[in-house]
Formats: sequence, C-alpha cells, structure tokens
Amino acid sequence: MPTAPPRETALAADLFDRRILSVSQLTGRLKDLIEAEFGNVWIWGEISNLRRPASGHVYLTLKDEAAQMRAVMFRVQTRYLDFEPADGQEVLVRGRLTVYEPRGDYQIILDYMEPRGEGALRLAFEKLKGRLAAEGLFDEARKKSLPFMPRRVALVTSPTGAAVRDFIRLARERFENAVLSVYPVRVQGQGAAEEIAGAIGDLNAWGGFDVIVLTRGGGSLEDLWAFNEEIVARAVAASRIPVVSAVGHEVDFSISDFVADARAATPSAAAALVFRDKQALLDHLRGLRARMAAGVHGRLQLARERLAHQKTRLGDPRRVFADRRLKLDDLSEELIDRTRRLLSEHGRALLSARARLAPAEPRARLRVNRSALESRRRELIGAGRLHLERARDRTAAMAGRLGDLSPLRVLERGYAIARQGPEKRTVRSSTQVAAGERLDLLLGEGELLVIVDEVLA
Amino acid sequence: MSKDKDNKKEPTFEEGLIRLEGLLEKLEGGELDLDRSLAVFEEGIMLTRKLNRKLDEAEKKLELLIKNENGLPETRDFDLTPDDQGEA
Repeated sequence: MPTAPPRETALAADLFDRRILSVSQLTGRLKDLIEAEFGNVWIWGEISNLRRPASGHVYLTLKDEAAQMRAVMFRVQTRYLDFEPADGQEVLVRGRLTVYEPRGDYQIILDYMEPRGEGALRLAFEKLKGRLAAEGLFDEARKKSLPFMPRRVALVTSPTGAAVRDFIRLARERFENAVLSVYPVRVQGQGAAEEIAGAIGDLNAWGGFDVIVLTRGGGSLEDLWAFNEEIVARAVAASRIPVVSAVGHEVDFSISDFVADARAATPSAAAALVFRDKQALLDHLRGLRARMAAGVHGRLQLARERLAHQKTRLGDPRRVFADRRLKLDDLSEELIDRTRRLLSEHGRALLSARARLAPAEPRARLRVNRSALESRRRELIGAGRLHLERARDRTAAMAGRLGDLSPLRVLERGYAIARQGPEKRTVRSSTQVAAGERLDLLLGEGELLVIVDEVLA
Repeated sequence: MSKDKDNKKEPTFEEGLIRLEGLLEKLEGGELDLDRSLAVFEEGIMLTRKLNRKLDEAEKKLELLIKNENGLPETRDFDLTPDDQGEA
C-alpha cells in the first residue's frame, strides 16, 4: 500500500478545512497537481500484465517489490521501440503521470522505454568509442577501399538469421558471379564477441577473401552488444581484408561500424555496397562501346567529308588525268631540254677544258715543240741563206767595189799603170824615175814599153 | 588459390575499365588520325568483349566455412531455405 507524501496530506487537510469538495472537484485538483508535478519522470520497474490490443497501444503494469503502477504507451510512440517488451522484463521508462477521472486512478503515459541496464551499456559504449577514437581507430586514412569486383566474400554472421538471407538475396541479384562464404558465428550473448573476432582473425590467416562482411539484424543495444566489444573493434582494425560492418539499423551505430572500412545500415545495404550491379556494369560497358562506335564513326565521317571535299577540289579524275598527262609532257620536255642544255653546257665546258688542256697535252706540246724546232730550223736555214745571200751580195758589192778598185777597171776607164824594173814596181811619183829610163805601161788593153823623155816635177 | 592466379595473369576488370575509358577519351578527343582511331576502336571493342566475359567468368557459389580441428577451413554447401530460393 503506497504511503501518500506528507505534503499532499497537508494540502488536502488544508482544503478540507476551508470547504467541502465534490469527488470531481477533488479529483480535478489532484489531476492538476499531479500532472503539473510529474509531467516528465524517469522510473524503472518490471513489466507485468503486458497487453497489446488491436488499437496498437501497449498496456502494462510497472512494479517493484513494494508497489505497482499502470502504464500505457500509445501506438505512435511504440514505433521508436527498438526492442520487444515482455512480461518480467526490467525496463527504464520516461513518461508523464496522468489521472483518469472517471475511474479515479492514475497511470503513467510512456514516451520512451528501454531495457534496464541499457543506460549502463550506453555509457560503456560512449567510453569505448571515445577511447578508440582517440587512438585513431576510426580515422578515414586507415580505411581500405573495397575491391571493384570481389570474387570471394566472407560473411561473418549467424547462418540462420534474416541478415544472412537478406545479404545473399541482394548479392545474387546484383552480381551472381562470386563465391559467398558464410563463417557462422553467434552474434549475441556470452562469447559472441570472441567468436566474431576469432572469425575475422581466421579469415585473414586463411586468405583468399576479398571482403569480410560483419552483419546481423537490428536489435536492442544489448542485442548488438557483441559488435561494441573492444575485442571485435581490434580484430576489425587489424584485418588486412577490408571489412564492411552492417550491424544495427539506420539511427544507431555500433563500434564495429566506426572501425570498419565501410558501414552499411542493413544487410541488404551491405550487399549493395560490396557488389556492383552487374546489369549496371553491362549497361556501362554497352554505353562505352556505343560511344566508341560513335567516336570512330564520327572520325570516319570526318575523313569521308574531307575526301569528298578533296574530290570536288580535284574535279573530274579523267580531266585531272589529262591535266596531269599534259603536265607530265611539259615536265618531260623541260627535263629533256634541261638535260640537253646541261649536256651542251657541259660539252662546252668539256671542250673548253679540253682546249685549255690541249696545250698541256704532251703530244701537242711535242708537236708544238717540233714545229717550233722546225720553224727554228727554217729560220735558221732562212737566216743562213740570208746570211749567205747577204754575204753574196756583199761579196758582189765588194767584188764590184773590188772591180772598181781593180787596176784593170781603172785602166778600162783610160788610166795606165807605170811599172818600173824587172820587179815591175808601180811608179807612184815622178821622182822615182829618171829620164831615159824604161818603163812598162800597163793599159786597159795591152802593155807598152816606153822610154822616159823628160822628167817633169 | 585459382583466384590469386587470375589476379596476376591479366589486368582486373577495373583496370580494364579504366583503360577502356582512356581509349574512349582519345577517340572522342578527335586528335587521332584515321588509322590510329581505327586501331584504338579495335582495341576498345576487344577490351569490351574481354570485360563482358570477365563479368561472367567467376564461379557462383554459396558455401559454409567450417574450421576443422587443425584450425583450417573446410567448406560445405550452404542452402538457403526453400522460401528464399523461391524468391531469388
């Protein structure tokens, strides 16, 4: 039997002293007072008499060893329950007290309920989270990226839960060409954390896995507790294989979510994270292929247009051909011309060179020398002859002069030479001769023997 | 085991895809002459085929890993309930 607080007793006494109240009036006053005073209280107790009628509201009685109290949680609030309340369960609740006047009783209207002990767990969770964060276990830089296309994926989970089925179903839908290896573990209760950590260790030791997925369906903080244990956090951090954690639900995180290389809200979301959609990949490839074809088609089109452009610039190929032939002819003629010109130029050069060379040619020189010799010889002969002629002339002249000087020639002109004695000395002076002497007179023709008659001076 | 061998043997799907996107960029860049772009196109098509094959080549398997007394893994078939297979 609950004992009424002294203050309320005093208040009631006070009211009673003043005037007499109806039941309604008193109940109304009580309602006002109680609802004002206990508008938001936290209490804990054990659930009993739990009922859940069609309305969806949850009715229950909270009790401890000495007292009990009726409680209700309206349907709208039950949506936020993350566990299934049951008789005998110890819970922590928050609500407001309300008085139901028609029946004169009071009850607590609950807006929050969690299994008892959860508060302590929450505290432990926050403490561990803070410690691991300070150690840097949650750093983005530590996180490994997931492989583009995993060939073998290990699932660390309960083999019987909905989680494994959800994961496998979506994985198969997205990308069936992979091996899914389920490493069965207990995901809650005593020893679950050790099993999970051990599995991560084993998978790393065995090798051959591209990704490890830790998963379990949602539940209370207590249910998910194994994934908040330090041993699991350490195993995830130490894993060389990328770890995806999909534990709990949208709003709550587990420690393993923070440490893992990637986090997903649900097992299905984890499957979507690990496996790319094969159809999307195929579509992507098809798209790339189509773009490639379009690219090369465009390139070909461009080349074709260029070709067409060139064609119009070139005009009719036959005409072009004729043009070209004419041009060819021109060119060949020019070539011939040039060749000729070149030849003749060279020929001339050759000739001139030959001409220049000719004098230096030994035979020519010989000839020249010979002819020089010849001419010299002729000259010599000529000169000799001239000399002879001159000599002859001079001789003739001299002979002439000699002739002139010849006593005979003088005699021819009427002179006579008187010679004396037997020696026939020429008489040059009258003094040489004495009268009566005999002289020999040499005339132009003939001789006279004369006697000197007289010697004149 | 066989998986490791595959990885070393030839470029991965992702590498192939990156290469393919590179080829496409070249082709769409319009810098290549006709011969080169045809060659690039050809390589691209071959690569697309190879990548398509790659998407199908891995084995499909669902297995349960059991650690034996020597601490080594043994595998068993893992069956989903008939319910789920019906849905899959």
